[in-house]
Amino acid sequence: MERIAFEERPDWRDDAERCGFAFHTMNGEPYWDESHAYQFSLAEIEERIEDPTQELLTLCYRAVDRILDDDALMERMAIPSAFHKAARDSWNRKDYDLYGRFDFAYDGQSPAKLLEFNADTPTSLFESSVFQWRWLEAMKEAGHLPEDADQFNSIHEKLVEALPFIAGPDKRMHFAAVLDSIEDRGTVEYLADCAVQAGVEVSLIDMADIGVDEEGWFTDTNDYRIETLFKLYPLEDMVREEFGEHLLYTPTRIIEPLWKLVLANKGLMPVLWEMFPGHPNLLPAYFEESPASASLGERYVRKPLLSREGANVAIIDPTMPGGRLEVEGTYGEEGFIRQQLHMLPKFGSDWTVIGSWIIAGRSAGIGIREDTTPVTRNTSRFLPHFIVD
Amino acid sequence: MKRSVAVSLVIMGAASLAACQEETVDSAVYYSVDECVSGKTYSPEKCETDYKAAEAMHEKVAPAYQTQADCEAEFGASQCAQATEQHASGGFPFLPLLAGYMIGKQMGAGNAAGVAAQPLYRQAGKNAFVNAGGHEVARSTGPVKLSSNSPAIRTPAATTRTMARGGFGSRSMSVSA
Repeated sequence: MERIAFEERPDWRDDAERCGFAFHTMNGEPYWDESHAYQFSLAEIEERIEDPTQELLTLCYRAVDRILDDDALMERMAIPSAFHKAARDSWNRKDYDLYGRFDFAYDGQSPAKLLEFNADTPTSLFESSVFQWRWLEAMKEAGHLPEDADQFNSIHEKLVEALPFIAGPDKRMHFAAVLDSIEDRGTVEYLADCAVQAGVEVSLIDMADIGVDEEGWFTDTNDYRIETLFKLYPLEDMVREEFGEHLLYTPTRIIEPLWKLVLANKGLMPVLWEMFPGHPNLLPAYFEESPASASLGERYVRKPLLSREGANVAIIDPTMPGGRLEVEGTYGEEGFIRQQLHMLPKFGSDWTVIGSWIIAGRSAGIGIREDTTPVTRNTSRFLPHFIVD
Repeated sequence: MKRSVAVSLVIMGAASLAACQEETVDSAVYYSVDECVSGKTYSPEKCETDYKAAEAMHEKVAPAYQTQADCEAEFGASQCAQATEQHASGGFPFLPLLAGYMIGKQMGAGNAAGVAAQPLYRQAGKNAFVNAGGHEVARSTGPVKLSSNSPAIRTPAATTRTMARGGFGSRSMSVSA
């Protein structure tokens, strides 16, 4: 793994806009950043990223079995008790899920360490799947990269392959999000685009416009039944909102399904460590109130059970100025976990995290984010990567 | 190779990067299970299963009319009956009789074009089988080829009566902000 400086394509902003990648620059700050790119060897990608991703996913599925079997543990993870059975039923029915993203700390030397699993509403999908692919093609065409340069990125292919199965025999899907957010909108538009390419009929709907009929089916603004609903909106919020009670009995298929509640929760990290202690890709982690959390000593990372984009994550380290570095936010009332402090690798003056994508249960590619601070957050920049041996 | 062979977009952005792919789907239309079985294209089990699936959908999704007269005006005398189960639009409207069914097709490996079996109807004075959305599926029974993009290939989503529309969104502004 190496970071290489590249010259930006003069017209990349035009290309981004032609593709509908509206959030390449956010609040005047660059989000897409092609001033550098990361180089990997094929063996490194396969052995250090792809294989561990696939293996960790298997461990996560075993953790789902364990957690869903234990109401007290679900309680500890702040999963509302009214939804315990529904989550279990959704797992036992083998409800399809679509995607997720592991965040890894990987420095090119020691094994990748799993920081967290974004199992419910991961974003940065379009830039991983489409825009970094286009960057690679453009670099090859311009002769900046050799013709056989590759990229760990079959996200698009795997989405187009998976979506018709998820859409079911009616081959119709509704894609819902908070459509005012251009980033969320871009993500569901991209997924809907993949679905259309797979022969699925699609509609976009705002989360706030979803209705429900007498039999519990969710409905759209034209009073059509929603047979399959992809929602880019946190499950943990849905089950806490008034309208969420309909999730308990709706015949509408929900993607991500309710069993993802137990993975999209930082409580997964202590459960994994307890089940697979010493696993090379896991970090020691404990529920904060557990006496064992003291074993981490004075330096650790404190994460809310539920949070998005690094919000309320704090590095506690007495050797740092102020003793801590905390990202602001409004999360944390459900409780916290503590995880061993394992700093992200630094390239130049930037801290780098690798997002490893899973599409329909298969390791599918990576997307890299950089930040000028050690905690990745919503303003962190996205950088492309390539494989050259 | 670790990357997608091709990455295309069909609805995003100002200029779509590639054309939408269209596939041909092989199916067939029959009046009855017996006709399907004697056609020998599909196994007797398949003929039976798909008929049952179409029949089960029929009372939910068939075109619905307030009165017998309205229904017969479209589908012909004695070609309508009142629903015996609750229709997706709510209540027990008058529906045309099930005139036949379209065979479904499983998705093949690497082939996205799968379709579900669906109920078919015949309008008065018209020589065609239409689906619940009124789209022509075939002129006669037997094998038929359909485009994967055609509205005839799938039964339209059921319209219903929305009882509550509060939607979601009270807790979260967006997932990426």
